[in-house]
Amino acid sequence: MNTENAQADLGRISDILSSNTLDAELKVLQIRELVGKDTRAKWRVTTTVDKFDGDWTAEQIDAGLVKPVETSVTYGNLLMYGGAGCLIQCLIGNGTSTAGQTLTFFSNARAALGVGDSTTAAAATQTDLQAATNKVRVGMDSSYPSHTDGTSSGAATVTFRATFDTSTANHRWREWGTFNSSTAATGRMLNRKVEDLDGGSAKTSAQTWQLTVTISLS
Amino acid sequence: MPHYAHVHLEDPRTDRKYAPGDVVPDDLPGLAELQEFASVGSSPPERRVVALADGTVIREIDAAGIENRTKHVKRFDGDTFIDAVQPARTVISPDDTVEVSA
Repeated sequence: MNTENAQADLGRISDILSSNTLDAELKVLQIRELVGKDTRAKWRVTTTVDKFDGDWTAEQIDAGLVKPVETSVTYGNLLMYGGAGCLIQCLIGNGTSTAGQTLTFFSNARAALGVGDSTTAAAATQTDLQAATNKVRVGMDSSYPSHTDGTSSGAATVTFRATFDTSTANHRWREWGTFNSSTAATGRMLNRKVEDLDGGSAKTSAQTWQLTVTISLS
Repeated sequence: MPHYAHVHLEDPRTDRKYAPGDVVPDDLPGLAELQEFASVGSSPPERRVVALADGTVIREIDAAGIENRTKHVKRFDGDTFIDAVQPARTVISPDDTVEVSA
């Protein structure tokens, strides 16, 4: 664990301990999950938003031409029933590379991350972001989703990343989801999370935001 | 009036997850919308099951009408074929389907 991750985890533990809404049992469970003492199989999700001043491409960001002015890290999500169904269907050989299908593979060409401004609680039967109009899906950056096959722990993690340029998603970011289609209202939503990714202020045309979603099964 | 989760839900304010049958907070964000799409209801969700005559639930029936999650593990001595096993138990027919509260 690097220092940044350690600080993020400490911050999260502090948030959990000081929460007035979580009961003691839930606090303990969440802290156990963070420190790795919860041995139950888990679908773990970490979401990172990196905010950059100006209009930048993913390639320029990867090349180190710009540094984020702000980074936020959050945790958790709700796996959709349809997302689980798609995963299982792909597992047993029924996935497809054809775009816009319910069982399309979450490949570089097809996968997308979406953001919207709805705060409606996540429900496992939902099939799209819940915002009426302010929602958008953006396809994967080059080389994402990122995954390395193998038999060590690293093989249990996949990372999705999309870059929202200055003309895209200029509204509140209060929900996000992972999709197998960048076209609105098509394909399947894998997971959804309601949280203020924007820190309380809408994205503007002066900034590029990069959204990274890391999913681990362990 | 309490509101019950009919599907798995997550309260975005606390990250707390609710399973079908759990009572959810009255101020859950988007509650009206969740009710409209039957994710939340004013009564506990009904589940369809196959039960023995004594009321023991042995299988769940999902929304597609598929029986799954067999509750009993049966053990047999020797090499036994399924055709020989099934008649030995109470025959469960679709007529035995009952609905119970979660």
